[in-house]
Amino acid sequence: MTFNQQISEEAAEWFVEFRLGHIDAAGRRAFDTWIRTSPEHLRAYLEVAAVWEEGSSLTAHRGLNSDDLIALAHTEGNVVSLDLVSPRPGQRRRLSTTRLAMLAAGLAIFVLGVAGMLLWHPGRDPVYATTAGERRILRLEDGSCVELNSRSRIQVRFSPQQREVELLEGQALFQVAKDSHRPFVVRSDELRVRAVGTQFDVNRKTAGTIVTVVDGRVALQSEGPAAILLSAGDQLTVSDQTPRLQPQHASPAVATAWTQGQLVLDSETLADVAEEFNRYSTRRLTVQDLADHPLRLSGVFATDPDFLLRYLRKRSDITVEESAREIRIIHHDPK
Amino acid sequence: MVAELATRHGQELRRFLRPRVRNSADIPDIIQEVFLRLLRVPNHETIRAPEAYIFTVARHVAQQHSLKSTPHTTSAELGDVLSEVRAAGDPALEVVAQQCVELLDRALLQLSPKAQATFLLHRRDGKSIEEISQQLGISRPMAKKYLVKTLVRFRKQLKDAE
Repeated sequence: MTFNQQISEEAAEWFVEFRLGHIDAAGRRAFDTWIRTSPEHLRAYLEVAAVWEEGSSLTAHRGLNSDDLIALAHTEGNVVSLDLVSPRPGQRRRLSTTRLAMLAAGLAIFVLGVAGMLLWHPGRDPVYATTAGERRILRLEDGSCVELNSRSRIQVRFSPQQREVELLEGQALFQVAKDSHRPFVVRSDELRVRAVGTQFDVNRKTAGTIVTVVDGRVALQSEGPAAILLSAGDQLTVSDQTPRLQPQHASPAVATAWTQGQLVLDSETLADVAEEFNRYSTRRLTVQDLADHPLRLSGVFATDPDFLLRYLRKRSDITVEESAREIRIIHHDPK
Repeated sequence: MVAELATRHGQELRRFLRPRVRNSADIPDIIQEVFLRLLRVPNHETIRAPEAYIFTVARHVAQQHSLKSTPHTTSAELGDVLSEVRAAGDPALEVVAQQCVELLDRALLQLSPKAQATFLLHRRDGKSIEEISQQLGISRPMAKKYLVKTLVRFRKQLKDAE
């Protein structure tokens, strides 16, 4: 199905008009005529209505509140202030001092907002971190976005030659802004993931690092000189235990379900489940599987460990013991 | 009241209009059916509330289609817990919904900061268009234009993904 720009614009204009304005009888008649013109008009209108609905569940900039967003919008004004520094000949633009002050204030709030997320290490590159149960979207200076999962840490080292981000702990989804002169490299331990304008997820676990490509292509390099190319839908787990690296096909939606506060488990052992959930839990989950047949869990869970525990407590073959510091999950044969 | 109507219908509709949801091949049929029903009604009856009218018809037709198609089931044993987690309850649909949100997030980040802010302040934070235009220092028509631009960009993103 081809996309028709003009019909889309007309549909969106009508739709916004209905949301924001008071439409009189003549307007309604015009709309009625428009919508009766073609099924394509009707389809565009219904689809616009659907994406409007979707708008309230968007997660981009989730870390920014209204004030941050307003500040972000004012950064667009930067261009104006640069204009002021070097006016074009024969054309002088004057900005009122109040407007300049507003711009400056807007920028200050934005910068403060970002600085608040930083943990400064004196004399070192900035480190961004999240605590258990927290998720955050960061916008880097080159326009790339990093969504940090719970209990995760990255260090950002940008130079004129290269944009390097090290994943020190946890998981992050990277959306890389295109800049072919400055490659974007994510490091996790010995692993290097190199990208130019793409989106991928890097998950650093105890046993190794999992890279999932959501969009575009990345080159992966670990120890040896040979790079492995991954494209959208490819997933590769790199660990000391796997000498041969074989990309697998994986659903990007599953790998990035955490950005929606969900975890998709596919026949995972209790130990794996505990490791996953420990990222989100303030109290440590430990497991003991005493049964003849180890338990494997599948399904979509909320990342909040409370929901997992609620489910586990309902099972007759599971005992949950809680203390102030840890939660023990014991699997035994059903009585 | 009309805004409320749109929201209620929109929630029903968006499940069917997402890319790759159920059989997206059904969607042209649904649209065709809604269009034919619309044409059967004389326009002096629809112009009083044309938008409410098409949302109602679209919702009916979509529901009839969903009754015909077989229901989805996955990882059934967790069903009860999942329905507590999310009202919608269908994990397969929810993962697809995530894909959709991801696509739209990506589209949003490609827009200008002012357009991004306008859309989120209105849709996410519930600010009126008057408040937004004042706080961003833009005119009311400009704020509207940003909303239109964002919707068009979103629809294009979903079309490209089909």
